[in-house]
Amino acid sequence: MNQSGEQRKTKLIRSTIEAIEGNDYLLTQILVRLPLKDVKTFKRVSKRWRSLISAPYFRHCHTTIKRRTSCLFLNPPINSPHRELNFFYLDQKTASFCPKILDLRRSHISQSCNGLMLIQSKDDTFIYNPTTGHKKPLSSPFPSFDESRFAYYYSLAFDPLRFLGYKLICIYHREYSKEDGYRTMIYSSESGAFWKHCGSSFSAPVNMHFARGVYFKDSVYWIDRESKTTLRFDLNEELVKDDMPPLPQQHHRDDAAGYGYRCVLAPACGYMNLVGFDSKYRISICRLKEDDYSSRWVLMHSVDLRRCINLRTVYQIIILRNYFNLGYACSILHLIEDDEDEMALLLQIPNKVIALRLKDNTCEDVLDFTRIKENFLHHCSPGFKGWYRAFGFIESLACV
Amino acid sequence: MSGISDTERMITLKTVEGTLFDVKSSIAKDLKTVQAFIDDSDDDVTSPIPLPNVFTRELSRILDYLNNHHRFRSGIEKADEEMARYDAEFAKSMSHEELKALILAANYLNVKDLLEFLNQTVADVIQNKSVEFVRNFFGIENDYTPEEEEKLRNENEWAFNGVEQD
Repeated sequence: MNQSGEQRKTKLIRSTIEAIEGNDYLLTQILVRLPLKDVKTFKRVSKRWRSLISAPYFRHCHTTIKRRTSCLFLNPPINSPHRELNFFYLDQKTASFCPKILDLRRSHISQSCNGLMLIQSKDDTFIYNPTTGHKKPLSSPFPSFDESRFAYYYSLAFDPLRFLGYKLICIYHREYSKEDGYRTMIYSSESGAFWKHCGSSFSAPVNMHFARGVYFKDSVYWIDRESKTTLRFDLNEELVKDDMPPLPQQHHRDDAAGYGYRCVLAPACGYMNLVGFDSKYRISICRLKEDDYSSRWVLMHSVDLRRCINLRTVYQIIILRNYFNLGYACSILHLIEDDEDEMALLLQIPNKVIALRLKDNTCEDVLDFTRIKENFLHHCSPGFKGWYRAFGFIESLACV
Repeated sequence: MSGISDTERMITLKTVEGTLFDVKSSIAKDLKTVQAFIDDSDDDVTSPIPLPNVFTRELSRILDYLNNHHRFRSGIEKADEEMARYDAEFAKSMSHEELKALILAANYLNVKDLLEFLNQTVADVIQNKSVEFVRNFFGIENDYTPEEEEKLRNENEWAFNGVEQD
C-alpha cells in the first residue's frame, strides 16, 4: 500500500543515481587495494577498466596505500632451478604475482626500501622496481676523473606516503684518509639529475656500517658493526645528526651468539626496532619510543629460542655433519609485520624458514626446504648472518 | 538552548524519503559534507539539512557505524578487538547491493574512515575472483572481442599511459 509505493519510488531513484561503476575515483580507490595479480586480471573486465588501471592516476593512488612485505629476496642468488632459494612468499596462499628477478649473477641487492631496490654491480648502480621490472642507472656523484679516489656508500630512501620520488644519500670519504671525516651528498629523483652537497664533514666511529642504511620516517639510520652507536641522516634538514639515544646495554655481552653483527635496526609496525642477541639463544627486540621530551629504547620482547624451537635437535644435526659451530644453527632473516600489526621474526633453521610471532612466541612454517636435495644448510649460520642477505619485497607501481 | 555546550548541539538531517535524523554535532563533524554546510551557514542551522542523495537505509547505517566507533574510541583499552569484531559484523550484514549503495552515500557525505573501510571490504569481496564475477558485481558489460580478451590474457608487462617507460 503506502509502504510499497515508497519502496518503488526509492528503487526508481536509486537506479538513476550514478553507480560506483561510473565513478572513476571510487573505482580506483577499490582497485588499488587489490593485490596486483587481480589488478592485472581485471584489466579484462572492460575497456574502461583497462584504461583506468593504466592511467597515471591509478599508479599514483596505488603508491599511497600502505602495504606489508609480501615476500623475501635472498642474495646473493644461488644458481638453482628451485626458485624459492632466491625468493619466496611469506604467505603461500597469496603467492601468485611473481616479481621480476633480475639476472643477479653479476650484481647484488644492496638495499630494499618500501618496494624499490638498490642494485650494485661492478660497474653500475641502479634503482630497480621488481614489480614492474623497470630499472634506472644512477649517475655518479663524483666527477669521472676523480671517482677512484673516494670510498662511498649509498642509502636509499623511498616513502610514497611522505615524499614524492625517491632519495639517495651518498656518504663518502677520501680513500685512505678517514681523518678528513665523512661527507654527504643527496640525490632526489624529483628535483633532477644532480647530486647536492649537504652540510659539512662529520666524523663517525670507524666501524659505522654506512653500506647498510635503514630508512624510517624521514630519516636514514646506520648502526656500527660493534653495535655500540647509531647515527642518522635527517631527510628534512638534509643533515647527519648524532642525536640518537644510547643503545640498550644487554646487547654488549661478549657471549652473544653469531659473528658479524650483534644487533640490527628494523622498522616495523610504525616504529624503529632493534633486534639483537643477548646470549646464544636469547633474542631481544627493543623499540625506539619518542615523545616531546626525549627518545629512548624500550624493551618490547625477549625470546628464549630454546622454548619456541626444538633447537637441541638442530644442534645435533650440526655435529653429525661434522660442522663445528659454537651456536645454534638459527639465523635471523627479517622482522615482519603480520595481519594484526604484530611483529614476527623470520628465522632460518636447517631445512626451513619459520615465522616466530612475538606476541605469543608461537612458530609457523613459512617455507620447507626438505624436499630440495641441494640443501644449503651451510648458509644457515647462527646469528645475523642471514639478515643482510634477505630483502623484503612490497608490491609497488612506483616509477624509477 | 542556553547552557548547552557545543558538543551536545543537535543537528537534524533529512533523507530523500523525508525521514528526519537528530545527530549530535560531534558525530556530524565526521560527515564532512554536512560539516561544510554548517560552516558555510555561519553555524546558524536550525532547520533540517536536506540530503538529496542519501536514503534512510544508508544514513541509518552510517550513523550506526559512527556512533559505535565514537563509543569505542572514547572507551576502555580493549576497544581495538571489539571494534574489529563490530566492523566484521557490519560488513557481513550487508548484501552486495547494500554495500555499493553505502559506498555511494559515504562518498557523498565524505565520511573518510568509513569509506576506506568499505572500499577495502569490496576489494576483499572481489579479490581472487573471476572477471565474470566482477562484471556481475558492478553490472558491467563486456566490450572486448574474444580476440582482444585473449591478447590481454597473454600480456605480461605493466604498460602505463604516460612517459615513464624505460
